[in-house]
Amino acid sequence: VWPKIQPGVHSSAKIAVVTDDAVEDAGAQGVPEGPLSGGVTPPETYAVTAVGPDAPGEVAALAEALVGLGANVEDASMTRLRGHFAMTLIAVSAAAVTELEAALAAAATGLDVTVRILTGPADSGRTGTARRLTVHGSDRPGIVATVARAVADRGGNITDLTCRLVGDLYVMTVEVDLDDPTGLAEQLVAAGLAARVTVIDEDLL
Amino acid sequence: VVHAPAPVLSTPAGAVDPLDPDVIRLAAELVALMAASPGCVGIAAPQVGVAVRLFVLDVGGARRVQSYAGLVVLVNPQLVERTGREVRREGCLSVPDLTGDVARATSVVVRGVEPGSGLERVVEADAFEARALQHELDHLDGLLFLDRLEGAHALFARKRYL
Repeated sequence: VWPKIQPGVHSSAKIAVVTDDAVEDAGAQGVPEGPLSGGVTPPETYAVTAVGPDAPGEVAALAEALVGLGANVEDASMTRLRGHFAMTLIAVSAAAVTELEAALAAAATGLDVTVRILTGPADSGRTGTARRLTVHGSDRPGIVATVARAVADRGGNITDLTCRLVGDLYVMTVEVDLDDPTGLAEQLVAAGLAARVTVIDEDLL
Repeated sequence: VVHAPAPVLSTPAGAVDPLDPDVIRLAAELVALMAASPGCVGIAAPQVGVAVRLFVLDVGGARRVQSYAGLVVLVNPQLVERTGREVRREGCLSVPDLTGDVARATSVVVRGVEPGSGLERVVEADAFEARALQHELDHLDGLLFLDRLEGAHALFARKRYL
C-alpha cells in the first residue's frame, strides 16, 4: 500500500515504476524519506469497460477479478443496452494494466473488456443549474446529435443520459447543467420532437 | 389504442360540449375499451386519436387503491387542488414497452362535467386514484409520463404485463 498519496498526483507515473517526482511528493506529505521497498507502486486510476452478451454472474465475476488484484471499485454504472451487457467503472489499483486485463479476461470470457489508465483531471463540479430534459419522438438518425448540439450551443453540460428505442418510439432522458435554457425545448419541438425542460429540485434535509 | 410517438399524444386537446352526441358516444366507447383492456384503469380520448378533453377512469380492482370514486367519466376536467408528492413507477397503454419514475401529487381534487347529463362532478382522490387522475389529465394537455420522468435513470423496460 502506498501511503497518503493524493489522487492524481502520480497520474503520469508508469506502472511498476516509482519516479523521482513521486518520491519527492511523498516526502513532502510526511512519508519518511529513504529507499522505497522494491515492488511498491503508486496506485493508478483505471477506467474499465465491459460490453457483450448479458448473462447472470457477470458483475460478480468482474468485481471478484478486480478485488482479487486489490483494485477498489469507485464509481460504476451498468445497464443493458438493447439487451447487451454494458458496464463502465472507475477503479483504483496498484496492479498493472496487463494484470487487470488478464484477470478480467479470464473472469468474464463472454465480455469484451477494456482497461486504461486515466490521467486527466476528474472535474465533476457543477457548471450550471441542474435541469432534466426529456425528449421523445419518431425514431430517425440524428436525434441524439440534435439534442446534444442544442444543449452544447447553450453552454450546457450533459451529466447523465439515457436513450431507448422501442419500436418507432425514441426516448431520451438527459440531465444537464445549464444556466439558460431559453429556446431549448422550442428548438427541439420545431425539429419535430416532444421536449420538456424542468429544474431538478432537491429537498436537502 | 394509439401508441407513442403519435403526434396526437403530444398535442393539447380541445374543450368539447358534454351534450354533443359524438362526445357522449366517444365516452361510451372509452368506457367499453377500458373494460375490455386487462389492467386498464383509465383512457383519455387522445389515446384513441381524438384530441378532445375527455377521459374515463375506474381504478376498481387495481392494487394500492385507497380512495375509489367508481366509474369516472369527465369532460373538460380541471385539477383544482393538489397536495403531497410521491415518486412511483408508472406505465401507459400508449407506451406499452416502457415504464418510468414520475412524481405526482398524492391527493387531488378534480372537477369536470359528465357527458350526457352535463352535471358537474367533483372527484376527491388519493394514492393510486390520484396518480391515475393526474396521468389522464396530462393526456389532455399532450403530456405523457415520458415528459415527467424524474431523471436520466428513471426510464425502464416494462417488467410486468397484465
